[in-house]
Amino acid sequence: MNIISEHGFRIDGRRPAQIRNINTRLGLNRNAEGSCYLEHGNTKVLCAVYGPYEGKSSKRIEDKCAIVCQYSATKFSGLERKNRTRGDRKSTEISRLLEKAFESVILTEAFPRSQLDIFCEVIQGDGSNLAACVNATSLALADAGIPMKGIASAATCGVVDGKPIVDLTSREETDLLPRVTLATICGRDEVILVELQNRLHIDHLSTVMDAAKATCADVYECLAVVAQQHLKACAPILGN
Amino acid sequence: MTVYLPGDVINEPSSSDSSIIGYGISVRGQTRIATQPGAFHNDDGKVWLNVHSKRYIPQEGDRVIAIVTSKTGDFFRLDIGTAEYAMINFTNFEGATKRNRPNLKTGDIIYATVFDTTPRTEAELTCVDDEKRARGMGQLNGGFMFKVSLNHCRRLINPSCKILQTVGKFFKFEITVGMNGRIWISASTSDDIIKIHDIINKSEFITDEDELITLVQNNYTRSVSD
Repeated sequence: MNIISEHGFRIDGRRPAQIRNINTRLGLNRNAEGSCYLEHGNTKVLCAVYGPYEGKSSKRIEDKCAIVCQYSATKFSGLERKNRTRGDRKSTEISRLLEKAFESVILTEAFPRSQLDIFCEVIQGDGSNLAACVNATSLALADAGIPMKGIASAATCGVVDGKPIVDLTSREETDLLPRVTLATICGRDEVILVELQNRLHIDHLSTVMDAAKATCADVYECLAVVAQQHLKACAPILGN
Repeated sequence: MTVYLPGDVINEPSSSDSSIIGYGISVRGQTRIATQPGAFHNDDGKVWLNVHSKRYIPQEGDRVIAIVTSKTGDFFRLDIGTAEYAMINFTNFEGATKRNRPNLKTGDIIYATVFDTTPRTEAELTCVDDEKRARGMGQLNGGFMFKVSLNHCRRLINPSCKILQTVGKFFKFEITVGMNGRIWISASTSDDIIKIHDIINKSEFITDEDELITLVQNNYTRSVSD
């Protein structure tokens, strides 16, 4: 079964450079400072941001805010039920990736000796889970009003027969397909996260990176529209 | 209303000659960059962004509602909803001396002013002004305290705001609004407290005055026990 048909379409009818639908809701968790629900095609992510607050002294950093991220997927999020939703090697790796990515986005010097908690929960996973978590976390941080350099956006990109395809689904994320997850700030050429899975030939690297950057810029436009609409909905209390 | 997202360059023509850079904006070289999503405002040489947020950042001179969390020697440790706890010395209460100490326990609520917000140290609070008078600050007894967003608190404090005036026509109550998003209300009955709490929560996104009067009237006539 080929990922791209002879007419240039993918399994779900998309072109190689086309992303799936993005639906979002902001501010649905009343107990969190910022929260976001994001649907990226069939990938559904909930994200909540707590803090900055005075955390444990063991995690305290003297001159900036410590960012703690917890990534988990529900038991029913994949095709097969998982017995362990967090704490396994894959979840821990993604949590550390998100922590390092958002340490370079958030202005951590504004909150010395405090802690910021980010919780990401994948309700339904259909590929590009890490990219969806980055997008949801960016919107949740914007909803919380945390000072940032910009809104981060992420996308995945794979290579088939030397041609890049973006925003992979779980059926396309096979064990043989080399794929890159890239996150940038404001769709600019400012990279905060790169993850490569499987082996990629050096000749295809620049093609994949260019396609991923362009897709990040497209995703950023979607997230910016969502954040602006949410702010305009808050117009009564922001002062016209 | 112009809305800026983090990372956007602020290009308002009137902001180029502003001398005071306010909240939510940072300066990089000659450019001004938004660091938080908010609505742009400029007024008399000042530019700032109004940010919708729930987490309070202490500013000197703000009146806040604090919860006593512990006592350490001469200081009380207070939770004002910031990234770090705040402190208050026992001498910063009206009429307090070494022999006559304020009687505060864990969980008590006080209304205080932030007077020192040096970075990398805890914020310091005081319950007296320069003449050692309380002027309404101190411990808040009884009543009910709840949290709303910071912008709603600023809106309630605004003298031109109609919400509290309208509620005052229907209920007899006492209210303290802290800049850190906490509100303390006290009334003669618990039913009144519940109704006022619901009115304040629901009025966050109401701008029409008739709609506000309808909301207050509906809460005034309803029965809480139903």
